[in-house]
Amino acid sequence: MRSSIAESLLGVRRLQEPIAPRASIIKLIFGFIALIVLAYVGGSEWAERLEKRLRITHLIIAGLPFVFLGMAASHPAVGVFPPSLIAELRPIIPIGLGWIGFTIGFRFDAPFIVSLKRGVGNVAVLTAGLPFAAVLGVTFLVILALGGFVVDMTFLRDALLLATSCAMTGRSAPYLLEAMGAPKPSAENVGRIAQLEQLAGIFGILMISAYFRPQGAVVAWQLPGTAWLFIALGVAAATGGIIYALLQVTSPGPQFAVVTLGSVCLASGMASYLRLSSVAVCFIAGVILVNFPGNWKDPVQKALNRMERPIYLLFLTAAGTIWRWLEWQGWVVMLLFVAARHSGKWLAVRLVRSRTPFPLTPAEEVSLVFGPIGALSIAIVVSAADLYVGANLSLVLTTIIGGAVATEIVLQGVASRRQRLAQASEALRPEAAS
Amino acid sequence: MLAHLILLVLLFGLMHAAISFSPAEGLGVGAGATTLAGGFLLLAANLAGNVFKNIGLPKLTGYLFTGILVGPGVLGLVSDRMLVDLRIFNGVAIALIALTAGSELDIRGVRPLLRTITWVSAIAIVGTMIVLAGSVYLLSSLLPFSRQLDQLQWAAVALALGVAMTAQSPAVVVALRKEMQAQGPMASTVLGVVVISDIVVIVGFAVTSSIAVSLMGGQVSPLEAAAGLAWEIFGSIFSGLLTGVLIAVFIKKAHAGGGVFLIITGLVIAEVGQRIHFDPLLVALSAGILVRNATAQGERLHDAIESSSLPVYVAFFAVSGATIHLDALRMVGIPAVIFVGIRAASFLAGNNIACRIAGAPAAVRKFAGFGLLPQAGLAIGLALLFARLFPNLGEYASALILSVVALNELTAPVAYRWALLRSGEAGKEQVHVEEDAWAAGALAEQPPAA
Repeated sequence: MRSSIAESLLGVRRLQEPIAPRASIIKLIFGFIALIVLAYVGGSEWAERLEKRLRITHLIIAGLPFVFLGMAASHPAVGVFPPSLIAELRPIIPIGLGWIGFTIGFRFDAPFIVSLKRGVGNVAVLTAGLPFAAVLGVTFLVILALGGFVVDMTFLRDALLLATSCAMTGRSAPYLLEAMGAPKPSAENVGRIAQLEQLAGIFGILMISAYFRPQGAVVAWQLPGTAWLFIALGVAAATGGIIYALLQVTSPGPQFAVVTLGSVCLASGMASYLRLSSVAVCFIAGVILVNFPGNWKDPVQKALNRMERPIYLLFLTAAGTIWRWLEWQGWVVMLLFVAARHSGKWLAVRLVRSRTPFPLTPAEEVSLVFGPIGALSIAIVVSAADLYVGANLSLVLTTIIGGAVATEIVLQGVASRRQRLAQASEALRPEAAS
Repeated sequence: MLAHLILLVLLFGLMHAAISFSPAEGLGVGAGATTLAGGFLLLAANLAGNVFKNIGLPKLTGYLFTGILVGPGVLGLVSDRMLVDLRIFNGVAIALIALTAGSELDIRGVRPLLRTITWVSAIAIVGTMIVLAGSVYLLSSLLPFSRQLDQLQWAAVALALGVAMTAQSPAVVVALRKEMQAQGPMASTVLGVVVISDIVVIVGFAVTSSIAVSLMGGQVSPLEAAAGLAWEIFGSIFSGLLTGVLIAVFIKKAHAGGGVFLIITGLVIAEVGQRIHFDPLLVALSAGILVRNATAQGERLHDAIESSSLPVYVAFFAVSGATIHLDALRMVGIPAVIFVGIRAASFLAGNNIACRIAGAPAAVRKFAGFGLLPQAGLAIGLALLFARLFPNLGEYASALILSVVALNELTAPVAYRWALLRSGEAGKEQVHVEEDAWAAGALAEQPPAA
């Protein structure tokens, strides 16, 4: 690159590499800039306030323009993201996944764990486990209905991915409660359950990456799936320990940026290299880190939180580049999966009411049943795309994106109805008093 | 320091364990391997830099040494393929370094030094080209590939080699200046000279090698070459000025995120520049000069770069170290050492003479020559280009340049650091770095995503 001027003087370059067509360069420049600017703006406080004003509670909904941008930019007719550029920028995906993993892990600190009420773990197991089972069940029923029962490993893997992605409730679920006028402790309660449900997503992708792996002479470590689980835990613990030691010996200042970025790259890169889930490994490392003492926790947490939304938005763009939205089968089964998810959530809430001593108010129950699909779902799909290069994840994407739209519509409908009911009962109260 | 060394050993062990997994191509492991190598180099180089600082050597030498140690030539913890995939850092780093250099070139402030810079460029740079060319010509007995050429051809090739070996490194100069927080006439003179020298060497190599190519029976199209040169140089400068305007507007309007914006700008400059044959260094340099001299955002640009550029620099120099061609030293060790010595002596003497003529301060006259010693990417690029232009000369000729570069990469930063300390300019820079962008001290906390 640095000798390009000399090369052109000698006509060397021109013989071998013609200048790219002007139109494609202009597209590349503008497309690239547009993507980066949009992601950054989309992750800003201003965008968040706008979303709240528009009562959009779900990141995936807010990020739909990025999905469309990804779809348009990767279309051959548009050609803003040529395959060579995408290939060069692929290392950003494990970094982004690792960043998300660390961000979520950092939220599982001691104060959070101490704040959990007795029995809330059981609630989270039910509200994540039953939708998981329901979606998995529907998947197998669909296959049966289509006339066959050939279950290969790829199908099983994708079914588990889908079920894992649908199991979680978005962390914006408390907004529904606020819209219904519920008190703040209710919102916090639902928020904690939603956060615990993220463990289901992490656990799911960890298991999938451990048990659905490349085999044969292409890899030097031939191990059973359970061994890979332990390796994942070991890698997370080892990298977490080393990162902790590095942060302890690093003074504040520009070196902090080096250590933070280097740590995320090391942990996520190692996981991705070993064909493990970067999100899961970095999550575990993050949980280890946040529960050790150190002055660096606040600045690290701020840095992680600041980049979380832009990374999700970039993931939505990446999802757009691989989504085949015209496959109608995906839209048909999406409705089934969404129905299965809500049914599973409803059943879970009923079981919590009848079988556990954990108290959930009616508003909290509604929030959990109709809560949106979590944004972590998109990270799980991108993680799968990183682990299984070339896999057709279009069906999963249709379910998540379409499901996010569907659940948002349902959620807004329920919230509006509840608000009207609450207003009506408020109006009746003074009349009754008089 | 013990803690740093222990952590280094642990990191090396972890990396060694990971790479024994050895997944084959086609499993999509490129992205994971690149990320792993990038993270490992960042952390290991940062630790090594601190160790080197504790023993009185530049951190930059620590970064380079780490790259050498873990690269394919020694421990092999980072493979050739990983280094190729990490080249994205090179482009961003070069753009950021040039942006830094441009943002530090205050034309009003440098005006008193212009006379010195001009004389040093004319005498030390051009003079060293001639001295090195003459040395190569006279020491033909040490260079076996000279035997297949007649006198005229050998003279032309010697000239091209002399120019290539003169190439310097704005990257190392800027990085050391930042590391030492140096400010003063000596540091400013060196920066100005290496920036000018960059273009002088490139054009000089093009002219001398085209003469050599035509003397050896090759074909060169002057018109096409001139058009290409005009596109690359003037196009780069013009697009750089436009980029500078965009940067200035962003820095003025946005209250945070400048560091991330600059890294992305560097990435765009590198990626797009590569595709349309613009020189990213010229683009970024022009942008930095415009922001510093034509807007009021010069200091804020400088602060934004300070807060975000260190990860890029560390990775850049670690990767540079890993790609140092130590194997070339085995081929041409003795001639390379001789030419390193001649080059250093010529720069120091040329600088001395030029400064006397220009009436420069004593610190500039005694120590600026050391800032001309470092070499890096440009010289390597010219060596590889040389190999392509003169395949009949074999790899020995390009190995000679690469060996000179390798030796200078390891020793010259130490010399320049010493010069900055002895001149009294180290530690004089007014440092008011914004809170670390990554630490997000200045950024409002965001509520978590859904």
